[in-house]
Amino acid sequence: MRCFIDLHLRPRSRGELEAMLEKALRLGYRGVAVAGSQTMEGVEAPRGLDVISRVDLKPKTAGALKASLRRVRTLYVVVAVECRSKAVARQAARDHRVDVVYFPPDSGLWFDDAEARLASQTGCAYEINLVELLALIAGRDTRGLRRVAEGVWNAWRRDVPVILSTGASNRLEMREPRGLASLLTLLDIDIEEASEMISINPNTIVERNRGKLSDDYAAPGVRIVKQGGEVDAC
Amino acid sequence: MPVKTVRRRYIAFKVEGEASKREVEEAIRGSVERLYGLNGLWKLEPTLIEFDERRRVGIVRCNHLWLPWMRAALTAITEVEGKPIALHVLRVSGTLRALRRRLVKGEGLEAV
Repeated sequence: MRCFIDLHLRPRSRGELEAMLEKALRLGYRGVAVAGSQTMEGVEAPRGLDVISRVDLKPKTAGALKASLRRVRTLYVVVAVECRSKAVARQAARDHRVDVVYFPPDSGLWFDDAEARLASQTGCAYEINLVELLALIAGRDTRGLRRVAEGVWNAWRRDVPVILSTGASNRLEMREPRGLASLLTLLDIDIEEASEMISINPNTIVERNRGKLSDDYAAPGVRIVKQGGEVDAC
Repeated sequence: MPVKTVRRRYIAFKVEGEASKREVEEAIRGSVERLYGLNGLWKLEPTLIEFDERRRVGIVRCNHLWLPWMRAALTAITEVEGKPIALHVLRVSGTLRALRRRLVKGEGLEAV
């Protein structure tokens, strides 16, 4: 059985956050990442639901992005960047500290081949948000849908993981995982591949970053197994 | 020996938000037509079998080959008559009887 994760919830109030966590569990998610101004302080996560910390950076320049990354990287499990300019998108794709990039439809940008090439070297993922996809469908914005599809093709061509999230800010914007996956049939994406975008791909990012943020992490591929005293050298 | 070529799938769903049977039916057909056009409408053949306005649980029928497309159309519904709603699939079955039996047992109803 797949372990579904919604990597992007952005509740606007504390009450909404609690309701969304309850609903995520009922819809079949095993984990959710909460971004936005609402913190988990004093909120008890429902039993069986893994709540992941996430921050959405919205920098205007590449320099501002670097400064923000220095400040937040060790505080959150998932660091996402909203790309509203090509300079920010390129910087985000080439920076090892960025986990996810996404492109709001009103920015007119998409995940192009240059960014996909950079992201393939850093492990950065490309994210599609359901609420934005639904807005494109409702507005019959075929150009916007084409940009999303091209982003996915570029990501696949360069082996960049694609993440599918709801990006929900209230309960009515949340959907069950299989419904979410089926919506990508619109972009000619196979249902099994779409399911991986809500399960395996986000899981990989979360596990990798939790490992990095743990106390026994030293460097990529190196973990501290024992401290102090003498260590037997083989 | 005659072969039954058209197979159906029955999808039980729950509506979150205020909506009447007529509004739900129009929303489903509208969503299929918006996503796949007239061509999709006759291929999917979305038919609202029943809708309980009190429990807000309904059953829609479609052609079995187009089940993922039908799910996508249900997922894409965000409003009826300007009111925000969401549709969540509870269960899918090949026969109406099996689906009703499971719904009576309450299987899948915990989803919403």
